[in-house]
Amino acid sequence: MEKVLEIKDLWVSYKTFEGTVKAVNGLNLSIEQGEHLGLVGETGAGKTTTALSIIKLLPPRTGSIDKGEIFFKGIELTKKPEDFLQKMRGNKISMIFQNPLTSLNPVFTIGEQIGMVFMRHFNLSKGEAWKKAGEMLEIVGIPARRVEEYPHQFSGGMRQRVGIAASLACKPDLLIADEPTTALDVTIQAQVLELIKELKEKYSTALIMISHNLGVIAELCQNVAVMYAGSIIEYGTVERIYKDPQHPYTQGLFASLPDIFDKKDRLTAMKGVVSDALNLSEGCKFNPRCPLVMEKCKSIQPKLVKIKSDHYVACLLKSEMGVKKVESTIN
Amino acid sequence: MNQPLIKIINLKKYFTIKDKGLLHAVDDINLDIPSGETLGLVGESGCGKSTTGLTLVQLLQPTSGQVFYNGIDIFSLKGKDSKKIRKKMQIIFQDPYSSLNPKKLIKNILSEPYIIHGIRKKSIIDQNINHLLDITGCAKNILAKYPHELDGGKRQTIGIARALALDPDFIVCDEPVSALDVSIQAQILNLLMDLQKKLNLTYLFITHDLSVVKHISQRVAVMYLGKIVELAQTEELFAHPLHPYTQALLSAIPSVNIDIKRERIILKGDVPSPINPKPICRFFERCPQATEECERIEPPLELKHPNHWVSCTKVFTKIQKETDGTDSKKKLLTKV
Repeated sequence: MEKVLEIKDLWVSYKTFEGTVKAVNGLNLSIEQGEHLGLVGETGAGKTTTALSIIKLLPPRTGSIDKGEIFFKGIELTKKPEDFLQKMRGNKISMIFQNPLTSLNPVFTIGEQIGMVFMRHFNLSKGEAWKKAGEMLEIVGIPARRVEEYPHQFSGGMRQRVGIAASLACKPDLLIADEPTTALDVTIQAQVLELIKELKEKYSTALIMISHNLGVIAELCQNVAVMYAGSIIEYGTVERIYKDPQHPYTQGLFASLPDIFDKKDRLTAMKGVVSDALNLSEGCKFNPRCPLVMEKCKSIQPKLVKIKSDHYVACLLKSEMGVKKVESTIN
Repeated sequence: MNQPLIKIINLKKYFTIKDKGLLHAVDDINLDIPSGETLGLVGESGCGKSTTGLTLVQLLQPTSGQVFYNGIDIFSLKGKDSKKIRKKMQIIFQDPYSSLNPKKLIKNILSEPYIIHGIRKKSIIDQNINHLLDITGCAKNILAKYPHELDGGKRQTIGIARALALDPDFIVCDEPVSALDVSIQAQILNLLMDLQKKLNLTYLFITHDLSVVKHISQRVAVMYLGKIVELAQTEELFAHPLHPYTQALLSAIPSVNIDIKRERIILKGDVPSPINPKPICRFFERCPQATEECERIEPPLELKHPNHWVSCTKVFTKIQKETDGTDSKKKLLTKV
């Protein structure tokens, strides 16, 4: 299968008054055509920074890609000039943002905002773009006549539908959805998830779904990458990771999660807090919180290693066991 | 039966919206909360769950209705008596980033409740604060810090310590974990459960997260547009939701148990406006099972199953048939 996106050894940092925040540290990721990948992690794990790096929308003065390459269909993006990227954004790669209230411009009508995509990328006239915008609205289940309205006239769920309509306008090859349902109520979230599900079948775009909600990822994705402190610490199919998580962090995440089908008397809380990206620990970034920490975890940064055909883990404990197994079979 | 610690009778809270009319935030709710219980109050944004909580701790004055604490009507009290009751009923707020004064040291934040209630002696305050830190598991050096120096979890812990300062019996927890990360959320939930056992607290736990509510509460009340639409024991409610709204709500929660396949009920549309609602079933517009009857009457919250209260005309008729005779009961069973 053709790889739509391939990220190789990405390092991203932000400059702040308190020092350099290392948001993404050596991230590797690839996604194939039509694949739906969930990117999961807690606040500050670097999920959104990864997404913004792909479309190069990092804050211009403070955020920078220090190292690494991002290939979109074989084209390297990190060094491309702005006008090239502008042709890609919203056209080949588009993004659905977290908060539909702030991602739409309050002073333009919905028709103008969706129509802008068509005018920009397909050189359509205003009238044609307007008509197209109406069609897109119909696709996401909003009557076409509402193109004349402003964002404030829509409810939260509707606004997110508008965001989805705008992002799908050019039938992109890659869609990045950054917590698209976090700001919505449960019943509205169900509507939006259902819509994304329908559309992904219709358009067969590759999807990167960013969320801190493991349930939402399970709804939509085949594969899932778990992020911690700026790198991927576990990667595999939803089936594998949800049933048999291997990294101590992923295990902790599932154990601390209340679920409507579980009967846990007490949640197993992880100790400590999400690592501070201003001063990350040496070695494995999770070592201060890890219940299975070893001496060498404090100095060696584990790499993402294959432990089963569709399951990768970055943990010294697991990779060593894997290595030992291999050795024993050789012997 | 013992008298419940908190008894809410016909509580209403309306807000006047200029040029539009009355917003029925809380519309005639009745609830009993026995001592030592955690009652979960769930619903989507705008359904009136926070307004209910704020009214209980007298941060809002109700439009009408009564709230009894140990048999005392709290809204009839004035002055000193009212202040005494307020000590016993406290609240933990949703957002630990905005509920702590950024200009005050943690020490001052925790001293404030004592000063307000007339305890001014420094040694007594210090002793009490130390006790608070002990039971919430905080280190002493936290006292000399400002809120911005703490992470979300620790901040919420201070919010909890502050609520506990005056030795309350009843605490309204208004979405105490919604602003926190999953791994921190578990720490706070465990702390709340430990404290409840240790101090024999009674909680009204307000949240939109049904997984959290299932974990922490013994009974659950589901709110929709200012009304309680269903009330039952947690196990019962999650196993046999009767109200169509509760059914849809439960089916909509994404779960991490990927093996459990569920029928998903997708509700159409959004929650309608709570301004000047019509006297019909509040859920009528979105209900997949709505009939003409639902447009005529406003169903009251009634006991339909043992310990299971529902406000839905559909459920009512079913039970009536059941009590009529065995024949119709059989019919019903085959239907189900």
